[in-house]
Amino acid sequence: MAEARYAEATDAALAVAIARRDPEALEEVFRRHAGPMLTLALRLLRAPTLAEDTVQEVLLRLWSRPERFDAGRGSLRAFLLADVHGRGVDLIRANEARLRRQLEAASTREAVGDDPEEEVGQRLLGERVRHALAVLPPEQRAAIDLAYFQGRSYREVAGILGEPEGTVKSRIRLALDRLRGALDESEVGAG
Amino acid sequence: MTSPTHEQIREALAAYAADAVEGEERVSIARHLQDCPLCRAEVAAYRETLSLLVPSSESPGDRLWLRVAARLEPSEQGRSSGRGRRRRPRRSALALASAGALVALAAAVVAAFLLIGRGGLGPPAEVAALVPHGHADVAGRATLYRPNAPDGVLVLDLTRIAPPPPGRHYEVWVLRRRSPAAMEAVGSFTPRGRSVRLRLPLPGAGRYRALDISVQRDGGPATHSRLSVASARFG
Repeated sequence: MAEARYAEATDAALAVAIARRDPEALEEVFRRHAGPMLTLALRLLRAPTLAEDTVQEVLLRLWSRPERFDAGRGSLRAFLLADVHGRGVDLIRANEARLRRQLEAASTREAVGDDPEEEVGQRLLGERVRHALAVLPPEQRAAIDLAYFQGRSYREVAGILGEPEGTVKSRIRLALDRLRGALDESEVGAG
Repeated sequence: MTSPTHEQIREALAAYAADAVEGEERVSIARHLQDCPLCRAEVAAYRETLSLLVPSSESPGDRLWLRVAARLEPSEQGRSSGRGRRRRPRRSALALASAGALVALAAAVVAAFLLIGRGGLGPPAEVAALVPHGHADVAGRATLYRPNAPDGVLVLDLTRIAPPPPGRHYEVWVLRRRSPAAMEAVGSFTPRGRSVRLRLPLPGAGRYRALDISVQRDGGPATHSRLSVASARFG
């Protein structure tokens, strides 16, 4: 069974097994990563059916084109979440008006609220993630939240925050550089 | 428009990794990444960091896996197989089962695979089209013969059905009016092709209201899994 056969398999081994068309390898990928994939898709799209469709599409894309994943370039988790994010952002931008109307009231207000540190932290969940985010100044947290978790372009983020585009771009970079250091230090695992 | 410099691109890589760059700028960066391993590594590192920000607060559960697995076409499963044959479904992590239950299941599957002609059935009493549920790829019809007799028969003509996910099989259920049990199982099957014709004995005389096809775990409990792929309504 999948749990026994692939429980200890590396990302690379799973990709090889998927290339051999072993559905149990894909099931192991599902067991490990579908939780965060669905969490991210829901966070972006706020619609359970659309989020599940996105996760399904990304997993089927891995099944049909496993060679797209290169274990030498990064983890399978990061690869899959990048795919989910890219697809989610595509959906948001393709249905801009309708989806944005649904997201607008809650997300924009929350992102630039009175206490972004607490609000962003609560919505991202995860104790270690909250600790890592605590190293960021509020304006960098707001930039990450709007850009990554709400699927907005840096130009849109600049408009929302009333900051120059270049400043926002730099804030995203600074935020990720600092998070990388903080998360590496706390040895955050995938899961 | 002049091409962005390497430094300008480096400054935008984090936003690019977060899918926050659009239009021509995104195209320029993508083009640059093709030739710049350093920047590719940088984007990969940013994506690793972003992936660690995502908690696993949602539990997708069986239902989503079944949806995914149902889309793994047999042709795809066999396409790159070194042995060139379809794998026998195994019990999955989601389908731990007892050996005794598996034996009983095997008997039920064999009983269900009674391929039929129509001789001796007499005229059909009722015919109903199957209605697929959700994303299920199922089509066909169900026909009742002599439902008011003790030897009534259900004929299930499935013109299209996907193989069940690994470790699962299909179960056919019927619902009778005035029946004490909600749904009664009449047979299990695991299709070996895209179309299936089954002849299944009805559980007794009665007025049949509906038919349902569910996905069940191999060796799982003998109750309806609530994972229905199609149904039909009689009368």
